[in-house]
Amino acid sequence: MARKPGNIQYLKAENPLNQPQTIAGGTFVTTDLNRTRKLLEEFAGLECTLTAERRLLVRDLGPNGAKHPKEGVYWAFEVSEVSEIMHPQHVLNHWGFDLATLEEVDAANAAALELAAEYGIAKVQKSRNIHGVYAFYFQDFDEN
Amino acid sequence: MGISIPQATPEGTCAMTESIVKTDILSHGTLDVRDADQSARFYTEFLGLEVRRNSATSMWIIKKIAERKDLFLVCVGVGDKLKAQSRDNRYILDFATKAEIHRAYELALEYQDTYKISTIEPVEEENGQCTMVLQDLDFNWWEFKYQACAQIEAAFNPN
Repeated sequence: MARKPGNIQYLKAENPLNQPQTIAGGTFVTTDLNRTRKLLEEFAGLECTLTAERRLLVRDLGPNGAKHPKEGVYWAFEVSEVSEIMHPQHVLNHWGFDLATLEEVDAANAAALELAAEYGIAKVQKSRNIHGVYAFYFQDFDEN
Repeated sequence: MGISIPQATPEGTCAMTESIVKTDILSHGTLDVRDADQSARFYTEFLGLEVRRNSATSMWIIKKIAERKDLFLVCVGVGDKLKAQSRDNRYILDFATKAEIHRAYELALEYQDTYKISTIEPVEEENGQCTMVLQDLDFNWWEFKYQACAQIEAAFNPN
């Protein structure tokens, strides 16, 4: 990730009211957990595990795809299955997947277009420089 | 790095050996904010997170820990176009003790007006879990969760 230098300001409270250990991750919802799992595992290369009948935990595979060491530090998101998406997300509400090279971003873009029907990918934007980062956005069948 | 396409088995299921995309890092999530200055105060003073202001309207939220400094939330200022986020789309903060979750609830009530906290849900404790959920000044949702990371780790590595 290469960002242009600018007027960067770092802010941190000396005595915040709460003191979390870290940000653990986040949540989103799907209408079809199996289909989301297929997209995240087979297409995006993420690791998934079911924690309940309608709930999936997802994380990246860790350094060099070798899986995280036990008690490693990573983000995870929790995906729950619902009957209806009440609040569809827009493009500014997204999760970021970092790839190693520009070529991989372009290859992922081409694969998303080619395999859209198989993986339930509804929209694929073109790869381009977005605020100094070469990236593209895609949207799944539930507008995530 | 090549792209491999899953091969269909006779049963019609996919036998995956490699994914199509090699995601290195699940690196960031995003939030919409109305006023970056006010939101930065809430994130740093109330939530105890760190902020990297990139511009007058945008910032990153970070919680630096020794092992990882590359995970962050991107906040984009949208002004009056701000829309309420769904509780289904929330971020989870990891706390070491249940007492901190209960204290966070009390603090949220005490500082609700100061930080314009929209919604505060009561603490829920069940089967060893302890959580509290609130909706902030920009209508984004935050879950305060006891040992969130440890529970995630246990799910991926049950033994």
